[in-house]
Amino acid sequence: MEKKLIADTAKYLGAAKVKVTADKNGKVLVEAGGEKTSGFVCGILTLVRSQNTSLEGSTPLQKCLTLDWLTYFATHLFHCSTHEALNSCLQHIDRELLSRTYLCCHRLTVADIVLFMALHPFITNWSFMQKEQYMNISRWCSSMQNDVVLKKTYKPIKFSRTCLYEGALCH
Amino acid sequence: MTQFGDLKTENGLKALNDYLGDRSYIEGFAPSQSDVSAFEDIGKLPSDKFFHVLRWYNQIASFGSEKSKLPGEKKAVTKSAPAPAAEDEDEDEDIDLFGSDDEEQDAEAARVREERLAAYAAKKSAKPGPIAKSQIMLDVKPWDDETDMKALEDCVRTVQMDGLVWGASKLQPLAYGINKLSILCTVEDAKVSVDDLTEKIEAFEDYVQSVDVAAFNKV
Repeated sequence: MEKKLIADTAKYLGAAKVKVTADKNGKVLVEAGGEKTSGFVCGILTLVRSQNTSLEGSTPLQKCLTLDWLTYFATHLFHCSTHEALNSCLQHIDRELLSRTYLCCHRLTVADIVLFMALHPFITNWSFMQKEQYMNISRWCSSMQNDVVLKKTYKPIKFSRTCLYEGALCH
Repeated sequence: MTQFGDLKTENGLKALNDYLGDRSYIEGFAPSQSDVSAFEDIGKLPSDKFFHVLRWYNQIASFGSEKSKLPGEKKAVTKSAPAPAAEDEDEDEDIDLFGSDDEEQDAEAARVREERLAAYAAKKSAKPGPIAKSQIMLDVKPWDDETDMKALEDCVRTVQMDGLVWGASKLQPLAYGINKLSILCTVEDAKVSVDDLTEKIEAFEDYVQSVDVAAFNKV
């Protein structure tokens, strides 16, 4: 999963000559422009710094939050063994998105892009009721999928609010 | 354009809160002047009861002084206050003391209106119409299981046309170890004909047996 996400992010950033491999312990190694880094978070950050620094965030606080989210993905979200674990991760993300438009301080960052790429296959299969349950993720996702670059590769997902499920809202 | 009523009242904020529940911005998927005008109408930080409005308010506030540079035209989202009622007494009075003054104002108003109309027409003619685009999923089938699928994909991607953008691709097993290549592309309807495109891909006879359109969506 991490290998694929790094490769997808590299494609998104337009980085050429990126090699992603995994060693026998399952740790990912990224080789870009002669520079070698190991681990998911460092790999993504090197790619961003070499291609589009604004996606890391412009203030120290934003950079910190980006790092924080990437670490959260790598330690929690990507290693959910059960459905319950995944749901509690999604609930956490949904709560965080309640008070902001993007994950880190009002601007699009690489954390948003990675999360979108990771969640897209799941959200495509969600029912409208599930989409309503994770209202804030749905809202975030529907604005993310209109990003110029993401629009080209990812199938658009349909979001619609149904009054039927209003009762199931858990805010 | 949606109307929310007076955003200074609870009801107006509630309507806006409902509206922003599944939207990040008031119009489309990027901040615009409509957001700014609604933002200015609210004026103060909304209470946290309206959490969607609060989220959106903070987002727009984060643009600071760059707000005026956001794209789009300013449009009023709130209902304009009813114009102060004209004084009825005028009708009864026979003597029009300010008659000449009124005419002058009318001429001035007409001139301003003319100018606005001209500016609007100029703007309208300069604006290009929306470009119709389609997203197409093509199924490319090879001759047999020994066909080099990587080379086949590279061949397909060499097809370059004005208004054609290649997207993601995937190999899908058909039968007996034979894979087909499913590839996404986005085309501008006016510039690219699908028949033309499939013919161009079928021209790689060494690799390609046939090309089918698996899905066709208007964007």
